[in-house]
Amino acid sequence: MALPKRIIKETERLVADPAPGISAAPHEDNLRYFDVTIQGPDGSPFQNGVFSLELFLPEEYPMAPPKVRFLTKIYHPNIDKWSPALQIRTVLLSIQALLSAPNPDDPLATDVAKHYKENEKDAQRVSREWTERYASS
Amino acid sequence: MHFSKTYSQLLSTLPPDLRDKAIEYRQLKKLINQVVVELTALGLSPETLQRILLESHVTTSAEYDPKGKSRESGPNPLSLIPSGPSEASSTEPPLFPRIVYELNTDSGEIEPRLRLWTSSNTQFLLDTTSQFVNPAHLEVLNDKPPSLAPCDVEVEVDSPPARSTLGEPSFAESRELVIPLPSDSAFFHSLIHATQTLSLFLMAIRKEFTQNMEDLARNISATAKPMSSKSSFHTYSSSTNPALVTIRSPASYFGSSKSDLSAWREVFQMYLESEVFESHGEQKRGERAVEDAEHRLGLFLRRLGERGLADGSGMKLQQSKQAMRMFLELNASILNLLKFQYATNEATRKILKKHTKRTALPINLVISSPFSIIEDAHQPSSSLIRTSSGNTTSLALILVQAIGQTIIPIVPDIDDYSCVICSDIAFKPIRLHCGHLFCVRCLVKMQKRGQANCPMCRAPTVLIANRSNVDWALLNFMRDWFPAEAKKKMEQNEKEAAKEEMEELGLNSSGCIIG
Ligand SMILES: [Zn+2]
Ligand SMILES: [Zn+2]
Repeated sequence: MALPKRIIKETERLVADPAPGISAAPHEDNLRYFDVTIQGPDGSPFQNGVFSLELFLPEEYPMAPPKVRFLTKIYHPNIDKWSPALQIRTVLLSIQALLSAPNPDDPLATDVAKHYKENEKDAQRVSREWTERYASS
Repeated sequence: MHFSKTYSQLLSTLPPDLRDKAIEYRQLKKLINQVVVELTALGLSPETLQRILLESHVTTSAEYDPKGKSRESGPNPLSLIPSGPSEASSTEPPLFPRIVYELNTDSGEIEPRLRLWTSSNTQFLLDTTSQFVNPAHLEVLNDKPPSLAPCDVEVEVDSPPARSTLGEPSFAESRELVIPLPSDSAFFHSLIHATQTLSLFLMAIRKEFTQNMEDLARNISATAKPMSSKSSFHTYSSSTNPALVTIRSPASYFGSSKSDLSAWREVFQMYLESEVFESHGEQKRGERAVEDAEHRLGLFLRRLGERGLADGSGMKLQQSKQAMRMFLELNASILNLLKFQYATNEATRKILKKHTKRTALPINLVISSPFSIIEDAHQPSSSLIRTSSGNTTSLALILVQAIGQTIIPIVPDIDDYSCVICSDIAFKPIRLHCGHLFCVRCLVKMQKRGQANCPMCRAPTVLIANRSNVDWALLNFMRDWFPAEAKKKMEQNEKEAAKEEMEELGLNSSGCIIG
């Protein structure tokens, strides 16, 4: 099936003008499927880490949000509310922003969120450890 | 490579009318050499000067007014004093001899001179290897404005009383002398004169450019007519005022009035994509910006050529071809101006640097580039010399912006009328109560999903939208300016709606296979 104009335009821009610290490349055989890497923001427990993600645009995109999955193990409490006006780029940027400021009040990984709420220092330590162990090249 | 060579190479690529107005770098360099000869004859070889000036720093007061009169309102346009530590106490006895390099502007020209304080009981031997300062070259300061004829000699006096209030040394034994520097005057005269001439010339260039651009705007408007050539263009058509709605008359399109609308749209789209004069990453400056612009302009021309648009052969109207030629000429003239600007600014910077290095005279002066235009002011500032650069824009940038504001918007850009959800033209256009615009197809999809909030502002305006939310003025505008795109989108919408309906039917009656 032909790729919608919206996806073509977004992909063109992602490739031509990538956001700093983020790369996203579509699979040749499935243009709705992207390999993504995000660099851990400086000053966060994820600094020096490079996180791999996969991003998939479902048939209903952009009415429905893209599906994003961390491939690198990451100790982080949350991965927002979708609007069709958002884009792949904005999703990836907000993931990058979440890496600098974990928000335990809106959690996806509830145990990790609990840890962040109860003992932030220690949770940050674990995040750093995981970054070193799983996200360093 | 020596700058003078780079400079003449740069200039050689420019049209003669610009080249003729260039700053004469070689001639200025010769004048600097003459200044050195003149200073050396005075016993002030660069080495000697350096030494005395360094010692003078101890007592140089930042409060000192080089004009010897009370400051006028506004910042002093010249900073002439070798900048030493300003907190240095002026009560400390000065070391003799003491010397200050001044750029006197009393006569409206820059007249450089040396002001010298010496102890009267010691002979002021300035350079052990040379003679005394030649009295024939000296002028002793008095209260009256200094005359600058090089051979004026007046008899020395004590420091005039007016000076002592300025924190200057008021020692009975001190003598204050003023040494005019004729070759140095010639240097500044030549540099400033060239800059002023250039400034006037650039004003004329700007005027001519604006005139040509307005002609071009008329030509393009005449050749890029919309469907209904009666339509007047509104950049904004959010209004539903029926008075703004143009009634489409398809007959006129196929009739006598030919239009190169789509060709012009393509030209401008490529032009914007080429980003000839603005790189959208970090701001590039100087040589890099010139090379970049030249490269991008080349790419733009090649793309135009591939589409048969560079020579206008892909256009229907003779007038379009002519307008195309002018559009390219205007862009070429901006590139030349950018090169000229870079060459002139570099030449000015380098020659002043060379002046300081060769003569040891500490100039602390900024000559504002004639290419710098002060915004909000239509006339150039009366003074070419300012201590701060202020809020200025380069002439080239102003011309680039003028094209962006006058020429490009003649043909509406489809991206300004697209639906943020499907990225296609927002046809038919639905304006929600919050003011945000979507295509009817995306609105229907949102409603079907029960998505109540506007994707842009999250106001609950989606479900309450209906036929009354069609923006009719915009709809007519789109049909007028984007006839092909609007038609295609309509067909797409219908196809998609039909498919969706089939799927819904298929889901409802399980067992029915959808192809
Ligand atoms: Zn849409
Ligand atoms: Zn809204």
